[in-house]
Amino acid sequence: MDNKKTVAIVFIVLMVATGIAEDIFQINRDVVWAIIMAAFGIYLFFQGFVSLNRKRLIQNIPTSKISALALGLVEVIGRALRITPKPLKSPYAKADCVFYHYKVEQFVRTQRNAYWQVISEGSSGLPFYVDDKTGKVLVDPNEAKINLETRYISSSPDKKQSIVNPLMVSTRNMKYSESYIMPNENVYVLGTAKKTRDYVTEHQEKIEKRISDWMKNPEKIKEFDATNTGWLDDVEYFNMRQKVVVTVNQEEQEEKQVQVKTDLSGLADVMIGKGEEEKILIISNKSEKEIISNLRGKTFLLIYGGAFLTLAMIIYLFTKQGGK
Amino acid sequence: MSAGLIVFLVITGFLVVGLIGYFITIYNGLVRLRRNLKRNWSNIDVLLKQRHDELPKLVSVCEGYMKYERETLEKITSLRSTYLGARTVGEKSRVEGELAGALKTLFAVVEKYPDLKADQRFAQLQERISFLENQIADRRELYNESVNIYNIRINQIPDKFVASSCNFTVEELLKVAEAERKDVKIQFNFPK
Repeated sequence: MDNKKTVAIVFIVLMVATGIAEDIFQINRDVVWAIIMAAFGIYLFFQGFVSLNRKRLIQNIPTSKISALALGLVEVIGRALRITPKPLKSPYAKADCVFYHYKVEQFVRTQRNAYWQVISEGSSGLPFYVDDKTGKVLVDPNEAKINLETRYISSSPDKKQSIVNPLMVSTRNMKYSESYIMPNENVYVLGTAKKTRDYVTEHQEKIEKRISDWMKNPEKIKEFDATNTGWLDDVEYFNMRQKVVVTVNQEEQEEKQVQVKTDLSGLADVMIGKGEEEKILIISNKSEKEIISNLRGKTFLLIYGGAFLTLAMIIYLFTKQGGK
Repeated sequence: MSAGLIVFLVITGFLVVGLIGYFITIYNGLVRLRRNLKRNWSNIDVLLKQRHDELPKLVSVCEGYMKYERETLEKITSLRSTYLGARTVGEKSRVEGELAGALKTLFAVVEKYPDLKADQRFAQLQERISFLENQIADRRELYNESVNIYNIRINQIPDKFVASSCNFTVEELLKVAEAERKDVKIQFNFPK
C-alpha cells in the first residue's frame, strides 16, 4: 500500500514537472515523457533486485515445525484456523474465512486516459492460527504482504451489508474485489516469531496510564481529595492508586473471561508478525514453489523490462533529435 | 557523441550495475544463510542447556534406587561436564549424541526398578527431558536443513564464485552419534 502511494505521488509530481517543462522551458512534451519513462525504467530495474532478494530469502529459509519454533525470522506452513468461536464472514462474498482483504475501485475517465482508482481497501486484521500438526501458532496479519488469489469480483455488492462505504449510492463503474483465506486452507507464512507482550509489563503500564489520566481529571481529584485542599496529599494519592489497581484488575478479569470465550490461548506465548529488524511478512495461500515461481517471473520482467524501457527511450530521444 | 556510442554506454552501464547488484544480492544472501546457521545452532544450544540443567536432578533421583547402574549415571555426569568444556559445533554434537544414548539406556533400564518408575519426581523429570529431546530433534532437523541449503548454495553457480572469493566454506551436518544408533540392551529379571 505504501509503495502504491509513493508511486501515485511520484506520478503527480512528474505530471506537474511535465507541465512546467512544457510551459516554461518550451520543451516538447514527448521528450519530457521519454526522459520520465527512461527514469522509470531505471526504477523498475532496481525493483527487480528487490524482488530477486525476496525470492532468494524465501528459498533460503527452511520451514520450521511449530512445536519447536524459535524466535526470529521463520517460515511456517500449515492449516489456517480461526480464533473466534463463530466463523468470520468476508464483507462481499459472505464467505466463511479466517482472514479477508477487500478492495473497492472506481473507473475514472479523464481527457487523456482512463483507469481504475482504488477508493477503499482494507482487511479483517484479526489474527488467526496456523496449525502444522506439531502445534499451532498465532499469526498477526497486520502490515503483511498479502499474496492471495482474488476469489470474488463484482460490480454490484449487497449495499445493505456493505461495510466499506455505507453512503455509497451509485454502483456504476465500481469494482468490488475480495481475497480471503478459508478455514482449514493451507497457508504459507514468512515472518518474525516474537513473544507476545509480557503480561506484567502491560499490566503495570495500564495502571500508570490510568493514574496519569485520573490526575488530570478534576472530578477524580475531587473524589479523592478528602481534606478539600484542591490537591492530593500522600495518603490521598495512595488511596487513589489503590482504587486504580482494583479497577484495572477487575477490567482485566472481565477481559480474560472474554478471551477464554474466543480461545486466545496461543496469545500467551509466541506470535508471527512483522519484525522490527526483518521487515518482511508474507501470507499466502499459494505453495512455496508457486510463490518462488511468481517472483522469478516478476524479477525477470522488472530487471530486463526496466533496462529495455530505458534503452528504448534513449534510442527514441536520439532518433527524435537526429530527425530534427 | 554519436547515438550508437550512447546506446553502447547505456547497455554497458546496465550490465555493470546489474552485475554489481547481482553480486551484492548473492553475497547478502550467503551472509544471511550463514547467520541463520549460527542462530539455528544457538537455538539448539538453548534447549541443550535446559536439558543439562535437569540432568543433576535426574541423577540425584536415580542414585537412591539404581545402585547397580552406577556406570550409566557416572557416564551421564561425565558427559555433561565434557559438554560444558566443548567449544566447536562438531565436538558439542558428538558429546550430545553420546549423552542422548546414555539417557536412552537409562530410561530403558528403569523398567527394572518399579519403585523408581513410580517416583513422581522421576516421572516429571523424564517427561520434561523427553519434551526437550523432541524439541531438540526438531531443531536439529531445521539446522541440518539450513546447512543443506547453505552447502548447496555455495556449490552452485553463480553463488560458487562469490562464495569462493569471500571464504564461505562448507558446513557439517549434525549426525546421529553411534551411541544413539545402538540398540538398548535390556535384561529382564523374570523369576525362574
